[in-house]
Amino acid sequence: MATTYKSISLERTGNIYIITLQKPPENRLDVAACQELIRAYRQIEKEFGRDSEGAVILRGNDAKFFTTGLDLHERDVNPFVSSDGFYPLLATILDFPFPTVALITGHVMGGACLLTLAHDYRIMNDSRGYWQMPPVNAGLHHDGMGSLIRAKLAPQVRRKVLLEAHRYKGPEALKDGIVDAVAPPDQMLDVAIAWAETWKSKAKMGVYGVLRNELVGEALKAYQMNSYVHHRETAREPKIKL
Amino acid sequence: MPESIINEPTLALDRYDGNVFVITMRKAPENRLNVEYAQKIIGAFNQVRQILGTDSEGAVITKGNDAKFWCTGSQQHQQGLELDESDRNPYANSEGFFPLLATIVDFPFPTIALVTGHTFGGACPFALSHDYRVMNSKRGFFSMPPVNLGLHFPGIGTLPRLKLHPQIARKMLLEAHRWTGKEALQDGVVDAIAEPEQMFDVAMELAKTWAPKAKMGVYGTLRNELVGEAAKSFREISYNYSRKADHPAKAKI
Repeated sequence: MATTYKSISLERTGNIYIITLQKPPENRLDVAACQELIRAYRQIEKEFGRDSEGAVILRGNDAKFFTTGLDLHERDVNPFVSSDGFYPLLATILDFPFPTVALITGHVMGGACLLTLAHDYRIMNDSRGYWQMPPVNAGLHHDGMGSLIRAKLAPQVRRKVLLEAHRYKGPEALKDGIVDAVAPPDQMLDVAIAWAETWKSKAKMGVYGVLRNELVGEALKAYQMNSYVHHRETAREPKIKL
Repeated sequence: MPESIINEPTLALDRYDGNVFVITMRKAPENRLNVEYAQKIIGAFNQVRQILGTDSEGAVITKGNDAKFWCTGSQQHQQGLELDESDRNPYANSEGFFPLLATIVDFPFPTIALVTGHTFGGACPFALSHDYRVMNSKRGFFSMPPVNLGLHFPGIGTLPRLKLHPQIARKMLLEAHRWTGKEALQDGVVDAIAEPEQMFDVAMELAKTWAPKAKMGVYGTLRNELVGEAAKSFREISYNYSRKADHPAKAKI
């Protein structure tokens, strides 16, 4: 199936698909990149077919960055930018019928943290890269911003992430349950693939997405509700652009 | 000596000191919950409620067979749903299992599940619907297999989501992890483990400790501040005949 992508590349190994973000310098997610990602998840779903095993890994292209988040300058020209790209992307991943793994190869900030939390599993670089959500520092908010944090993290960690803007390196992120494993840069892809291989069979009976939504349904609803909304603001203008 | 209140072949209800009531399930071979049995257990809970009245100390322990009986070594599940019954009656869960879960989560007194042996499938929400869980430290597994069977009902994940750490809820619902007693304690799936000869006493101790909390008449209300969403979702799918809520299993075990 000939589908071309500009910001990402896809490769398949057995029943595992790897999506690599390739939008230098920092893989910032503008509307076009988010829509490409959505298209990629849909393509992969179609290729796996229903009631079959499969898993998807999303990763950065080097050990420096995963993605440093949304393109905040794009918001200057399009106030609905998140509604047209980022929220639908999160909804797509939360809804996805197969297990998903985020391989946090390097720095991840802001909206990108939510992108990693939307995945079922997170593997992080053990020696390089920070995971941090800075909204409280930047005067930023969007409706439902806490839903993924509530769905995936223990109460005191939620506070640390959203109200303290704590900056995590891999080992601490592991300790706080933000990520499931850490690995050295030269092994992290293998670790992510091993995780994907372990859980891919859980999709076979066709209820993986439905059962996941028993746990994250509120977050899915929050992002669906804000997708493609143009009649009202769903996010607050940041006071500082990061 | 406990006072016997119900003494039927498949179910017993006994009253102990301190207003602690013990429901013993003894429906050979595996205490599977069909409609009739689920309704019987609901009846036992209702009877306890009627005996105790409001603003009274009290607690209920739900246990499997006497340790003496299941000590046979072979695969002996404590509970699970009779998946064949769904073939004859597509509303079986709606008439028995879901109302049972709703009853327990709503119950005005502290509840303790004494997990004497294997806990499998529907037995897991049944155990999780209780306020506390005590498990056999030596024998028995706790596992929820819906992801492996293609099974779902709306609200199947509410109790894991509300009672367990997110990574543990994922382990239960998306990985179908099989916990031993020791692991279950470590992951917070159960609150205590004990050797077979002691587990009843441990459950009784817990029951006696928490029974007084019901005296001021707000125990159930306060519990529902924490897990009320689960009670609502079970009630929502109880006694439903005009639409199908659940995803029946693609595989039977």
